[in-house]
Amino acid sequence: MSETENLEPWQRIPIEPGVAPLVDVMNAHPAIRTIASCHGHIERGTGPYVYFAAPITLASAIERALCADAHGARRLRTPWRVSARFDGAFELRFSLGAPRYDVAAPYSLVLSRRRLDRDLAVLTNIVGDAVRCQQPSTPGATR
Amino acid sequence: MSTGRPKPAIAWQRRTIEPGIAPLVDAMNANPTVRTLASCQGHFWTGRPPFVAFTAPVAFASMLERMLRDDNYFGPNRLSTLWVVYGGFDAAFNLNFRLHAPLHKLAGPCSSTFKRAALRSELAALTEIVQLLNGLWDERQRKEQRHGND
Repeated sequence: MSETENLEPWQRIPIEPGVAPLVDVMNAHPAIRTIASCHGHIERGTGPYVYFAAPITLASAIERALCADAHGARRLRTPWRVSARFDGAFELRFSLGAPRYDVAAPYSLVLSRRRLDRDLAVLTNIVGDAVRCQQPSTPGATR
Repeated sequence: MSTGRPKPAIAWQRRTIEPGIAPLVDAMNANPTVRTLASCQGHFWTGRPPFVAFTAPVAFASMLERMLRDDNYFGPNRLSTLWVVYGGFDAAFNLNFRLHAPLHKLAGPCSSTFKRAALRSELAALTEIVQLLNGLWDERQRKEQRHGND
């Protein structure tokens, strides 16, 4: 029996290539589970996001890393934020997204796509470093 | 070196709570685990919708979200629009919550007197929901305490 047979139809949709490295980096941490993601569709004005389950300390660490970049190296072109919502079972879930991308690109779609892909690549590094620092086995990890 | 004098409040902290949202803010602060941080009663001129930002245990925010959804989906529909609890991180990277109605439209062609009355009853209904929640929260705390003692 194939691995995807027990999944709901929406769960069988493959992860979009632009966001897949970021999703992999997040799922590499045992306490993070990604639920949904999108690599952004500039032509429709739907921004990229990763919706995930994690302890608050981990989500806070990601937000801290994003904030540090915004006030320091500024490798990301646009502000990315971690926000929280309650899901259907009233469990707290987080969303990593960039609200500025939720508007259709006013000029070249190709150029905007390239910029967004570059942002996603930078984000993968930032989030990867942030979650690696929070590994349970490393000193100073969250309990 | 400390002079022993209280630190003066910064400008935004000196502002009084707007009268339209004050009962809701009071109801939330009546729960010892909740502390409101900022609020707005809604402004028709600028189209700014009402909100209350607060810190609370995740369980409290979750219970509030459940009560808001229950009211909207299963009745008694005291709220004319869906109010939600969203979370975000503050400057110290602590999780805070925001009670607001993302679809609330204050600016528009409809009479602002009519809208103001509707908003007043909406905020009164929210206050009732929070008071009800405070009762449930106390009950839950007592139950947990009893389990802890057993």
